[in-house]
Amino acid sequence: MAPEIHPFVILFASVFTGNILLTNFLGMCSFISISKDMKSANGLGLAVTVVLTITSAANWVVLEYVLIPYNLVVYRYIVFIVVIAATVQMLEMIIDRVSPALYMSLGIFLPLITVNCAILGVALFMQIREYNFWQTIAFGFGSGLGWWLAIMALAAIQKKVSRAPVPSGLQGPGITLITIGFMALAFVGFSGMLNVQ
Amino acid sequence: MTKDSFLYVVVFTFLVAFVFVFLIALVDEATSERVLLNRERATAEAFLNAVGIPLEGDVRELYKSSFGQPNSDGIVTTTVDGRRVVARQFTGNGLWGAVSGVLALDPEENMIVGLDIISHSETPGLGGRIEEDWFKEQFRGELIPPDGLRVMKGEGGMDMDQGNGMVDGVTGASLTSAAMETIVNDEIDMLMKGADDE
Amino acid sequence: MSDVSPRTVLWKNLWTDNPIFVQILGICSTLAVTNNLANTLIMTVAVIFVTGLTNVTVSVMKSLIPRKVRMIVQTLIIAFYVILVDIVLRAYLPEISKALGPYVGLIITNCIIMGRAEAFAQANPPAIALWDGLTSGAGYMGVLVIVAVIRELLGSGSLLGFRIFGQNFIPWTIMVMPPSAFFLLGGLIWVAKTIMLRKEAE
Repeated sequence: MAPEIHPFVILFASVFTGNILLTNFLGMCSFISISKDMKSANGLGLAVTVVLTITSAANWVVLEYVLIPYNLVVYRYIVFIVVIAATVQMLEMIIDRVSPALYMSLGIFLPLITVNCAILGVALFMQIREYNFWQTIAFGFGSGLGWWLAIMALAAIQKKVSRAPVPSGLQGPGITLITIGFMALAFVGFSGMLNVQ
Repeated sequence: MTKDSFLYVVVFTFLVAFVFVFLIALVDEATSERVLLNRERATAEAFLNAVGIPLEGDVRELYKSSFGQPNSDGIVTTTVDGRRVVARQFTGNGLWGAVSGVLALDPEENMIVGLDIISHSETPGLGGRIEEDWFKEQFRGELIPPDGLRVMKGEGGMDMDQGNGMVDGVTGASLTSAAMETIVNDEIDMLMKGADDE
Repeated sequence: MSDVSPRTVLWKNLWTDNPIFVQILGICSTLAVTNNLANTLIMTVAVIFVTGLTNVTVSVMKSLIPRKVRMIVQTLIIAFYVILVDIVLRAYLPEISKALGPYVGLIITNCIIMGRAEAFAQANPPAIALWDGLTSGAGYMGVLVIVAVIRELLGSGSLLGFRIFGQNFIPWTIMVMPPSAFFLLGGLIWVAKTIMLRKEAE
């Protein structure tokens, strides 16, 4: 049984209060290495949003119509990963054929995304929370948007930080993590903004 | 057959996948009974915790001897220190997904006996803290005000005043706290109605 | 191939090439549960187990795996061990399994495991590959356990559920909340890097 939570609430919560990166720490690996300049941050954010929305829907269909009816839920980790890898591969091919320009800005990030924990994370969360189709879409899309928002904000802050006198030991990942910490703190503040129902 | 020939790749991948899937099926089969047992035990423990019966020995036996058969609404009745206590397993909506647990009431005294959480999918460190003792223990002995219990932003920590009809919410998780307020009040209505029927 | 004696591998994985301090890899799956020491311990032990055994398996099978499907097969091996861990936790440690929820499954995308399989197990014999996997996992565990100890001690006043501080201690709620994990990890990296830089200068 899916919980009766309005998809809009899930969407809002996953962009702000429950930002998948800032509260669940998912998708950190590519986050820290890419967040250096705004342009690639934007490209990666867009790619993550697109892939998250599509794969969460695909994984939901597979879970609902294959894994649960045939009692194969124990294999979900393998199946989800394969679905994600296949979707990303297909997306890469389609974008390459349809729009070489888009491929140049988006395509190069796609392989990076297969190993992004946020993608598998969203699939596992939607399984454990027993979301229905629209809740899953809202959650996938919202998590993508939230991730995008976070990486853009971080890239912008990083630009300022790069001109600041940071102690040598703290330069690089250290200061990035502390910056993310402050961002996470600010995002927790969003939780007062939405009153359920 | 060379290592990069098409046939080898297909056969190899298939074999590896087959062996792994087979092994997983074996282990899963071997542990399925235990998993079922664990689930029963967790539910029994939640009932006992909510009512405040100390856990000892086989909790499933203890559960059977402490509670009667559930009625058509799933409500079980027991007697603690001479008072009648009703309890029921509930499932409600948290911020992210279903929250399930057990709420126990004393219908005559109009008082909550206790609350325990069986499962939830809230964020660790934020909404997920509803499963921590400090949150659950606030409900123990709380008198139910006529217009419902409130989960509030308080001083932080615990609200130990049992007469004010309020408990402290979780810092940084207003939405989960609000959801818990709805869940608990709905469940109070449900239990009160069920208790009157008997 | 560079020096692969057990001692240098140990030193590298625990300190000079520590997966977290130096490469910031694989923190996704575990950082969320570091507000509780017990969960962190189980989670990192699971990572050690999976990294070690994946390394052995990849090393044993390295001459059999066709190049084209190498990544897929490695993912399959990792997923296999993770599912085993998941099943065992569910059967024998149901409480912890419930608390860890989806995070166990996320070990699959832990970059450390795939990284070690690619960088080390692919080119080395099984025994040393096992050692490399175990020590990489241990290096990872060390850092996260420090984070977890600080978070649980200050956030709840307890360690592994036992009260350490008396009744007068006011818990630092921030330590239980997610942002503190970023601050602590950032701080730890600062300390570690400063020590490393000082060593280098000498």
